[in-house]
Amino acid sequence: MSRRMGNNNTNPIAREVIKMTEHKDIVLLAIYAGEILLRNGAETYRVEDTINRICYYRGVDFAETFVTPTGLIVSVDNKESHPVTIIRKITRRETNLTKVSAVNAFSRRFVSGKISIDEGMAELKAIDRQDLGYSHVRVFLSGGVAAGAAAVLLGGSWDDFFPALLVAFVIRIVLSTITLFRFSLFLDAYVAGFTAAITGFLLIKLGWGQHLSEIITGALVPLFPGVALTNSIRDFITGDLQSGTVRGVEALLAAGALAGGVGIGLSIFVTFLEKVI
Amino acid sequence: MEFILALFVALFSGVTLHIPRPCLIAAGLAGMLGWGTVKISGYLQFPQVLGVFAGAVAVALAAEIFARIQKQPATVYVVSGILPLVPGSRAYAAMLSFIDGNFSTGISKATETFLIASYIAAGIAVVSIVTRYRKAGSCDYRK
Repeated sequence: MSRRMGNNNTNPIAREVIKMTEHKDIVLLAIYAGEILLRNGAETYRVEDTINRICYYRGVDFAETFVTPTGLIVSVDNKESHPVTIIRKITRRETNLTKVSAVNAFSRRFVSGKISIDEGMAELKAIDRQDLGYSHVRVFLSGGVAAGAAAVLLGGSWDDFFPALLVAFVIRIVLSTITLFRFSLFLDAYVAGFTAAITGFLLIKLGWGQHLSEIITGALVPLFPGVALTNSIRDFITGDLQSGTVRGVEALLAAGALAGGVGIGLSIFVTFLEKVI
Repeated sequence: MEFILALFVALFSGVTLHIPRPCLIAAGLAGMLGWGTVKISGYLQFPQVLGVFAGAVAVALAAEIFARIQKQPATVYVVSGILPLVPGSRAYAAMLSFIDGNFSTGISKATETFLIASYIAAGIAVVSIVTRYRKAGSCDYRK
């Protein structure tokens, strides 16, 4: 926005200041795009690539990006001005691949040069704030159907479809209450496994559904940390070894926590409640 | 019937992961293809881990093709496409053995689970390596 003004300005100091603020705008835009990507489950390569593209296509001579799952560093430099470096930390993470795809499409349009920096910033804010993706009701219902289908697919009978669906609903309700407290990813997974085991067992005891194992595993399949696993592999392949390791461990711990939660729930039933009921 | 179930698993899990609306059907198809490959490998009497590996390769290949057609990140299709392959029943059996005190059975089941999971990972990795290799050469934005 201020580029033309900067070229007309004859005062060298003022020119440099304008040049720097413009740089800063580009970096802020690029790092915001990267932040949205990283927060919603994009792989490291995509984040770095998007930031670098945005910087280079807007006339930066040198840009370097360092991205880990918990934060990003972007540094740009031009021959005539001082370098600008911005660090952004990521604290909250979720999975919303619609936003990843939206930012991806945005960066393609942005580097084609038809959008100004201010417009780009506004567009990114819209992507970030909006509820892109699906409504809570749809997510809730689809999670149930996926769980039911998984239960039948894994070797259950059609009688297990609705119990698994119900178990998945209960898990989602419990999880949505728990996430309000912002404990940790792994506690959530533990609780999910535990809830699945307990509700599944109760349903079987009430005479609804046939195969306990398929109901429980089916209900938990949609919660499998597939995004962490896939991103971990992709990070390793592109050489982002730190991110790859971190995400691999995340996937392993989350899956282990799911299994552990099921184990605790089942053992409680087997040792105590089996005799009572 | 199982194919439609696999499609449902991938498609509806995709909704919970908020994958973009135009990609839903394609993601479901990727999941169906993966499951079908596992089934076919089963009929051909392949070892099970090999079947899962082939299934993951099928999912990742389908994902790369859909990604090229719809101009979306390939990850979108992979994350929900692999869900029908997840070795949930084995993990459950392992857990049950541990609770019963059958530790040797539990360990062997857990190892099997871990192996199958890592074969899924390997399947995705093989396809990504090939496609990334091409991308690394063609992507030159530095002036």
